Amino acid sequence: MANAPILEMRGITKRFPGVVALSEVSMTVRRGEVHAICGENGAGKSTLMKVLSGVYPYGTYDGDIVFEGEEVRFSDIKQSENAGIAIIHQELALIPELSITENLFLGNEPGRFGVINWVGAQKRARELLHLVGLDEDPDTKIKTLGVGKQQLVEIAKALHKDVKLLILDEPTAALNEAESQHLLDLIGGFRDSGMTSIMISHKLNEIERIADSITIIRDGKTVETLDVAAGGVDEDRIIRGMVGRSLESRFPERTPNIGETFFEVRGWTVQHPVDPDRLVCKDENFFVRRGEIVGFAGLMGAGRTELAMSVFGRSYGTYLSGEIVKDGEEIKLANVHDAIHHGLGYVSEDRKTLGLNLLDSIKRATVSARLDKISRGGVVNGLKEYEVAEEYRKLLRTKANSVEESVGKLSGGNQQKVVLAKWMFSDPDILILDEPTRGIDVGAKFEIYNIINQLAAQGKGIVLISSELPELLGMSDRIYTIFEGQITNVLSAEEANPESLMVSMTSTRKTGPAE
Amino acid sequence: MSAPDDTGTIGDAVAGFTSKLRGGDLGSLPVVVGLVIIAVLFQALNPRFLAPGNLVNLTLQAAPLGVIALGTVVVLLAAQIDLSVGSVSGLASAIVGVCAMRLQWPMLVGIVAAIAAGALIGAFYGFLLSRFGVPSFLITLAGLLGFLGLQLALLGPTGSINIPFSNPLVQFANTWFLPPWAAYLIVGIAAIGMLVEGLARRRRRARADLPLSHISITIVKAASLLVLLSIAVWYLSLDRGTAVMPVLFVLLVVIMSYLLRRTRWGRSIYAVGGNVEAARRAGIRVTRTLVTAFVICSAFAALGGVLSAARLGSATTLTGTADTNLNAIAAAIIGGTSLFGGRGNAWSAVLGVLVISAISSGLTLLNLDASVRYMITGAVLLLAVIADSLSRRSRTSHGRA
Repeated sequence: MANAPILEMRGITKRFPGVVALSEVSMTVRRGEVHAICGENGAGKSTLMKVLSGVYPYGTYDGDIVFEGEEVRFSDIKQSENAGIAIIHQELALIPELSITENLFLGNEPGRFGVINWVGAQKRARELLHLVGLDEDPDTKIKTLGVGKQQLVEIAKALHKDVKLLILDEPTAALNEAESQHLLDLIGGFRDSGMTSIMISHKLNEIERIADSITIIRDGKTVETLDVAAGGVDEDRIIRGMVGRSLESRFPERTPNIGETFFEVRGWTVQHPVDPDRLVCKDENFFVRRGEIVGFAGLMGAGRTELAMSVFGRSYGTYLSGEIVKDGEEIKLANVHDAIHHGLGYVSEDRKTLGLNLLDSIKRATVSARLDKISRGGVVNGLKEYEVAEEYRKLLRTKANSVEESVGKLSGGNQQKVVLAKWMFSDPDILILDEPTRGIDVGAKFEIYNIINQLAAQGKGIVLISSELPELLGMSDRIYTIFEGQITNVLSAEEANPESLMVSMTSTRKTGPAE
Repeated sequence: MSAPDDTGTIGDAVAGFTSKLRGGDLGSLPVVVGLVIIAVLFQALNPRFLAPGNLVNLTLQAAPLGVIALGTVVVLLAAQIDLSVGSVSGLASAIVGVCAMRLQWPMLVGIVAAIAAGALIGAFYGFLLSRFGVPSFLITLAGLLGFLGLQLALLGPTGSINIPFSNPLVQFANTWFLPPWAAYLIVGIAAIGMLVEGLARRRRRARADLPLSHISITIVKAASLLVLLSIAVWYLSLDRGTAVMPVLFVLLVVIMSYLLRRTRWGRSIYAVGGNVEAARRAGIRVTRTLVTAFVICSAFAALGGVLSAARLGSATTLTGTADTNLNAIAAAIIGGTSLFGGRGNAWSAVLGVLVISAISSGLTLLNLDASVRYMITGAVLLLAVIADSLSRRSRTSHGRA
């Protein structure tokens, strides 16, 4: 039974100076369904949602939006919210120092004459938290919650505003498996109670599971709309629509050529930066061989990033004890500068706040970690800079008009390519990649996997930290598991499977032979 | 993908420029337009405003403040602030006065001592910032008071030290003018330098197979510089001519501009100002970078103080106080340097200080007193910041942020 559409977007065209971001995009969302939007990086998914929610006001785009049978012309987000459209962005907009209740009703406080009715607010907050299945005291400060729970608070906030259409932009990108599971169940529950959701996601297995229809966008144009109920829709089918071809495999073929152990961390113990009673790494030992891709699996907050950062020039926590041995010699890395000059590289998980200066041009960002390589007497050779940046832009196929473009304008996947270019140019022997494909679409992921394999083939040691188990399993030669700040196990590629990893990621039990 | 070829001919260059403007990338256009409006307005109110004599005075007045603003630009680019530039400049003028007049040391020693004191103060700020993590706003607020006190202590109960007009430093700041041939020579060198640099750049880009702009653009740019500067020199020569002190200021700007744009040090300043965490993770030594920014800022503030003492022929308790501080910061921001770091350039000191000095000079000519001058300068600062915010917002909505 086809329900009446709740939303129709017809012939939406959005131009930016010099670029057509969306060209004649049309989309129909039926009432009470979960509608997924899929597309590669920069395909125009987020732009389309910004048009819908009034971030780009009426008049700056062409085409019509019909919501609940009426043509709507939003001039800002407030108007679309009042109409019942709520958008939950990838970057959460909660205030860390305020409590859950205060955040839920921010700008919308119940009460009279400006005096807030806190008792009523608390009660309502409890109801809302119950709806999203979050068992927390409403007085808890947001900063003490993990990303997954914050996400739920955001959704509760939208529910409070009597939302008819809920838009989720990459809702599970920062969540672990269990949290993602919960969120998807929640969205399914909303559907059963009659709410309509639009979901943008790069995790195709999730889409396959939850979506009723899928609109695929490629290069700013609608490619097709798939009806999942009609059958025949699986991940490969979606991928084919997104990239216009089918990907033989999600992970590129590679024949590992593994050499001797050349990088070793021994007895690594690090204190929490604020709380001296807590150890974030407890006597950790691991090693990396030449040409090897070593995975690090663990749930959010298990201490994977903390371990990697503390090794990378003590940029996290307070170093207590332990040693790093590279090429048979102990090296002392007191800061990031030392780490880079001893041949370490670290691609951080949060490219926007930690990895890039968004004001930089592509070329400046590309060379920023190793200016010494293109300068003489402290003077930067502008031409070499351009050449280097061009070379990496072509090599990594970064989508940009020129390397003089600002990185702030690029889509997530292309920003990540610039970050990779920066670290490839710095030519490390050991490259630590922390969630290198987070928030990146399938096509770009494949390209990034290819780059990682090439680096390994050159004899570099790769440390791959990831929350996506298929990625770790598909890429790594060996996988360490971390649980509560401790390496619990190490599994070879043959031994590792999702079940064996999950066991070691959630307890100190061992499933396979430890080395 | 081929590089943009919208820079082929002059017509294309103009088209590219207008598209940039429409996209909200205004560059220094608002300041230039503002300067023209100010000039037209004051000229209408008092025809002496654009007279050669007044413009010569304006350049002399602007130079000391400009030098202070130049240092402020560096600190702002690193996303820090220095509220004490006024006090440091006042302290420097007092040091020069004490060394040269009371102690009867050679003039040069006094100048060097003053600038060294400035650099030392900057290093001290940098040390406090990195050692204790106190925000620069507070450190330099303390510096503002502390060094004002030190200045008063140095000057002693009389509160002023006069430097006679015969003193070479005072002569330099008031009566040193370039002979016309020398002024034209400098103009010629600047234009030829620009041409040679442009051609060399073209040649290098051609060799690397990079897209080229049409050669006429390089020539037209250099020619316009030649014509504009020649007219300026000729016009100033109707009065006393081109003074040496403002030329020194522009020379310093050229040097700083080169250092900021082309050296690793300059890159580290922009990187720290743009995103300090990303800079740290790229192996840039953040502490060292910040210390250098403060050292340069305070050293320029000290030099500015020396120049203003020279210009006035005395070091008094008033040198560097009152509005010097805020005028220097305002000049940097009016000229287009962002208060939030990472955006701007050395030339914003020139543009900003011209605006501030023009307003000050115009209002003096109209016999309006300081109260009006403060209010108007405040309003102009507000306008400049609004223009900056608007252009940023426009960039965002055009997807160019």
